Amino acid sequence: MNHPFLKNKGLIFYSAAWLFVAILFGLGLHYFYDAPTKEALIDSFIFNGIFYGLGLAYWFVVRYNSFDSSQILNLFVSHLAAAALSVTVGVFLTITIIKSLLPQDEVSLALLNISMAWRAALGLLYYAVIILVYHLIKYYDDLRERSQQQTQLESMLKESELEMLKSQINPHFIFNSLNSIASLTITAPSQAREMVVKLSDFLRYSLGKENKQLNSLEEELANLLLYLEIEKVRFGDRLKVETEITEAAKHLDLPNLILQPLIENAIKHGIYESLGDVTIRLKASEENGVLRVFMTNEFDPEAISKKGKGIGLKNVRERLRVIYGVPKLVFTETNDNLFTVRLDIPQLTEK
Amino acid sequence: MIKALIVDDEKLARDIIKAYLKNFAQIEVVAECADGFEGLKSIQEHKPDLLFLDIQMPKITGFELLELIENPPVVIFSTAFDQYAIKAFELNATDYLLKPYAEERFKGAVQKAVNKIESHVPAQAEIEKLTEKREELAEGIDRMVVKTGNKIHILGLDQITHFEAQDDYVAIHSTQGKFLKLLRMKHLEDNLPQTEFIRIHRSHIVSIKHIEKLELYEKDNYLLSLKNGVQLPVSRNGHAKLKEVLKY
Repeated sequence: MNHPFLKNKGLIFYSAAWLFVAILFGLGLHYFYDAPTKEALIDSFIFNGIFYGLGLAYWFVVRYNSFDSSQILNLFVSHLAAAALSVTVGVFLTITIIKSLLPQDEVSLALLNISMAWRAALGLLYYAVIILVYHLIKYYDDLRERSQQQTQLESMLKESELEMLKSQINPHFIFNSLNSIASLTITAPSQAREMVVKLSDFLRYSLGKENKQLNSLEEELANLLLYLEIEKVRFGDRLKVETEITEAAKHLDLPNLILQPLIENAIKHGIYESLGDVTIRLKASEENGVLRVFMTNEFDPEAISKKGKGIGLKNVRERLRVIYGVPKLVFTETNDNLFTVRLDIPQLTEK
Repeated sequence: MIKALIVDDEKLARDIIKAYLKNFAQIEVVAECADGFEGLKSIQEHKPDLLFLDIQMPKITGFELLELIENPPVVIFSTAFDQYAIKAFELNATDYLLKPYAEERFKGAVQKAVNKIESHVPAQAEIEKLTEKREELAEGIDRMVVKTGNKIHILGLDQITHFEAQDDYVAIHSTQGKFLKLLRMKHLEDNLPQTEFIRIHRSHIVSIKHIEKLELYEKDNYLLSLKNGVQLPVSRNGHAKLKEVLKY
């Protein structure tokens, strides 16, 4: 840490404070010792000027002594030595300079010699006050630095957490799609080419989005539909998709790929677990400045599905909580054979 | 002629198998099925020699389907990505295909299968080994698939009251009725969730949820009553385990 009074405007404040003290000191000399104004001012500026310089040096006593309970004796000794030395030097210098600068008669010489005692006391007071101020500055600075580190750490943590939650595209999906492509190259090469392009577009969007957190619903929807088209190639007519998106909702923002785990869930519980046709409904609208998205899928309520469900939903919940700092933005509802998940996405004003 | 049957829920996945099989003149595809239920019916009807089987399918998995077949054919699994399956088959890697797979890899697998079929080695033992390995490596048992006649039942663990050893079989007592399955008690004991099931006797594993009360009926001999009224003997070892789990 640099010297607090030698950087920015520190020196101005420091000097102003000393000027104030010097004037007070001069006034004191003038009124209590009947010193003439000129002599009082010269005396004051010499004495306080010397301590002005010493005061700057006191910083190093604070700077290089840690305030550590195990070294309390050390600290005490070093402060005592610094105080004694600086006060002695300060007072001695003052007397010497005043003697050589101002003509002295016997009375003023006696007064000057007597003044050594209270000058020393005043010097000690200066020392104590300056050291206290330095300690306060240092303490405040440490505190600020620590809180800065804390926020930095927190934002780093948040970012890595988000990365982890985001990178959850189902590898099954990719490998199965590649297998479908391999199959199409034999039976329908042009369709295979089409699917390669679709899969590439989907992967480019999903893997390429890095730190840009928010996207418009329109963009996200385009990617989602791409995903569904790929799944349609795999599952044929069994998968039906209905969308109902208001124009206003299309331009609202949501975290990238936040709908992906939900659609994967819908497909998993719909298509993967059932034998018949499955319809997935997607609805989005704006309600009081909030983007409200509904996703509904049919499922077989009698199916005793294997474990592993709920991770996607949990991730979505967790991600929204981290991004918006609001705990409850995901709602689910089960109705006969329909499962609906609703997201309430707040809109951040700054963009 | 070798009769082959394909069970996979994706048409394109079945197509590529059929396409690759055209190079094997001695193999005929007798049927293709899109799910395990249909697959089971078809297997019983056609009695194929060779089965191409996906693992993740609607309703029941490929593994579960295999457990329901009495004299299973030679099986080649094909799945996109399954770390448990990969581990299980690394030890016995001849007939496992990771989607998407190369045609050469496919040919190799089929050739091995053909050799096996032509040498008439019963496949049963091997499949038992495979399915058991799967369950030891996987996250344990979370449901049971059983068959009565042509009907398949999927039992959730909470529907099962207790298991009873009966020679080579285990009788599964559930709210849907009693079912026999070729299983070993040790396998159940190792793979059922320990917080839900407890082996109280050499021949009995009970669901903790379905326990009604435990009574002393002779010196050192306890009798466990289930909520449905069934009474089961408790061994000394079983009693110690009950004590630990129920904390009395």
